[in-house]
Amino acid sequence: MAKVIGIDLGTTNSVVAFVEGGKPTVIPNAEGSRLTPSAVAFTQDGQILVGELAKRQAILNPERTILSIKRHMGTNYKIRIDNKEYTPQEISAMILRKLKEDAEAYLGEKVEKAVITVPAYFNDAQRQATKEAGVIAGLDVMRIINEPTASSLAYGLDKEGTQTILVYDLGGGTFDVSILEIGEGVFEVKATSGDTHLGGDDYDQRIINFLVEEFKRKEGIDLSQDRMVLQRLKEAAEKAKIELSSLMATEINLPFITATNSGPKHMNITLTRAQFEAMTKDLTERTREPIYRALSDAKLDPSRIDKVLLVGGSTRMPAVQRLVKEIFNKEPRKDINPDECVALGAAIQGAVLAGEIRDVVLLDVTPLSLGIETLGGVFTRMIERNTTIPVSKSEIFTTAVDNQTAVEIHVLQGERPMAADNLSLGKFILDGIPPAPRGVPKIQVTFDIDANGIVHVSAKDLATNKEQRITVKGGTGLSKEEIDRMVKEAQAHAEEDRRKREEIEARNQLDGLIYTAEKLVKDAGGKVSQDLLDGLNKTIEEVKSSDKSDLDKIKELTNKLNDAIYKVSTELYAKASAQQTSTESPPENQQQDSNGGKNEGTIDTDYKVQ
Amino acid sequence: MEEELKENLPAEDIAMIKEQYKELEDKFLRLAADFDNYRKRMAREIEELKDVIRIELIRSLLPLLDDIERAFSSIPADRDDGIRDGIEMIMKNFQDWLTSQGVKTVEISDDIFDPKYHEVVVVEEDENIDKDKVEELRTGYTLNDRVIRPTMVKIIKKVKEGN
Repeated sequence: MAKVIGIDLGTTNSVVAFVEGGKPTVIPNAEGSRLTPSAVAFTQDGQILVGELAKRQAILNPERTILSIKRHMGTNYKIRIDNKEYTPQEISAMILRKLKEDAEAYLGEKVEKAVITVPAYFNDAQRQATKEAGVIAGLDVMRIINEPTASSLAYGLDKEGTQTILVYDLGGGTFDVSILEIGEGVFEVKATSGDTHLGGDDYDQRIINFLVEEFKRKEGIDLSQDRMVLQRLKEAAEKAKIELSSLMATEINLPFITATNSGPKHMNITLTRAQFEAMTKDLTERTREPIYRALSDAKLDPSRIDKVLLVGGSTRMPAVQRLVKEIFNKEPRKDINPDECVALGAAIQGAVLAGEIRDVVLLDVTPLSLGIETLGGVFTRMIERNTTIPVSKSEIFTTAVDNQTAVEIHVLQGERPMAADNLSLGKFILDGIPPAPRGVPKIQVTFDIDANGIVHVSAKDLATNKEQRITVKGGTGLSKEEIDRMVKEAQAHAEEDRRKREEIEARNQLDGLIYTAEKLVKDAGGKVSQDLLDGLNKTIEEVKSSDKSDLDKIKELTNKLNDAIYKVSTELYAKASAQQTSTESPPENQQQDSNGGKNEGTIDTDYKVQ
Repeated sequence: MEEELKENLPAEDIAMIKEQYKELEDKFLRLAADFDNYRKRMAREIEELKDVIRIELIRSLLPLLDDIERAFSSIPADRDDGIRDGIEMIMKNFQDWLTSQGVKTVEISDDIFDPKYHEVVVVEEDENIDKDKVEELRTGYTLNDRVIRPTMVKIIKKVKEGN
């Protein structure tokens, strides 16, 4: 079945999106950009250019370049080019056709159906004209929906019960505020307001003006007459504006901006966020009045608004967010890319109409990582958080001590590296493992989370095929708050946990090395000088009896023991090769054997081999 | 056992199960197809992404080259203390690096303006020329025929005398 696309046909820019696997995604245009300027140009040689290309030639061809056609939708306005008249819907259709064709190229299939958005205040004639534009572009317009409704859909607000929301949409050139009531999947527009000539471009212009004035004040030179210089200032202004959304100050450095008889002149101006906000305060303040007007039309007090959505690229500015927060006394939602929000919502609406969303298998994810406890109380993750379920994963573990005949599988959930800090879901014992040196048995542990979120954990001894299992019902049944708390705790303790884990891993490694050393003493008996063996024995005893509570101390002991082992094994090899009979196996590589053996009788530990 | 089950089930239940089976199969095939398309597109996108990332990086470095070029052209040609030559070498190293990355400069051929590669920022008129002229103001660059940034141009339009 063909895909349905969602189109945000904007005044300055347009965006197209589609739904795949239940998730909306923006489709980049042929030039590789996610926003397409809503510009159309008729060249002298009869070509029609749309988007970025139309903008590039705009000043050469101003009377044949059409910008902001959306402002004329639903009117009798006509554009006359070479004795032919074009209606606003015909011009809009050219933009829609490019979006359609670029979507087809991206998706590799024909696109016929679309949902197109319009401002909530559009009247019937304007909506009809928009629909006609779609038809002219060869699209079956399944529905025309309001931009704020699309934003609400993108935020999934239709699934959250009855509520009143306000959408604050500050784009490149227009400001819209809409109040909606959502209930049972029905969206009702309660009020709309706005300013048709206010947007991000005004903010850029203020910075350009400031730079020109500052330069005039410092150098006495007027830059405003040089188009080339103005172009550089425009780029620098936009960059500075974006930077000031995350930084408190930015430097505008434009070397060789101009030259006088006395030589080249450079621009070096620092702009702080406070300065920027002061010089644009009136612009931001201009959005206040329409908000109150909409509230009063809807007969609502700010406190009655359940949620505020920020849409449009200009809402990234901290001053705008502050103003909204101050009026509504609550944090606005801004987690979806404000440039893309409307198109994403339109795509969702399209998929719902096509029956695609209903058909999609709703996939869940595990909110927290799952794993088991291994040697030294370490939490070994088997399934990472945010893994889509159903999922299954196996790993091979082994024993920690010689002749260990049972292992305990302790199943845990959480994000902390140490088992004790995470949530225990249950434990079970796999016994009957044939006695063998540590590290030899192979125990396969399998985690399986089914589509209902039920966790099945099994452990199987690959030598005997003996198996034990546990089923954890509601293992992921934590509330959202509990999950958030656990994730936050993990972040807060990250550094301390990392150190703790490093220490335990170092201690496990040292324990493994002691085992290797003891084995070496046995194997090398009579083959190397007794002095050396005594020395190694002494070091082993010393290491065993030392305090091992500090990472540096553990590392020091590890080095010391390594040296002692090295001396013995060097002599062992030297003798062996001298006799040309090498029947002895070399000492085990302690790096691989990061396990220990001081847990006689207990059946807790196993360690990861693969 | 299965036979028994079949006999005991009313016909409408069997019809419903068949219906559900069809639905599930359809859902499964759709998802499988979606995934297959997704996989193919991702493979293609990853290829393209390599270019996109390089283009972004190169684009953000170009203003530095512009500045070096401006510095160079602001030094009088007769200056011979080595500064001019030094700056020229820095400029050349930068340009050579771009070339080694596969970056090409956009050319203007026969004074023809092409919006795919050029962006007009200044338009002037002149009575004393034979035809329209396109002058480069700032170099444009491409990578694998993708525009990193268009050449900024000035267009001088020929106007008839007395116009």
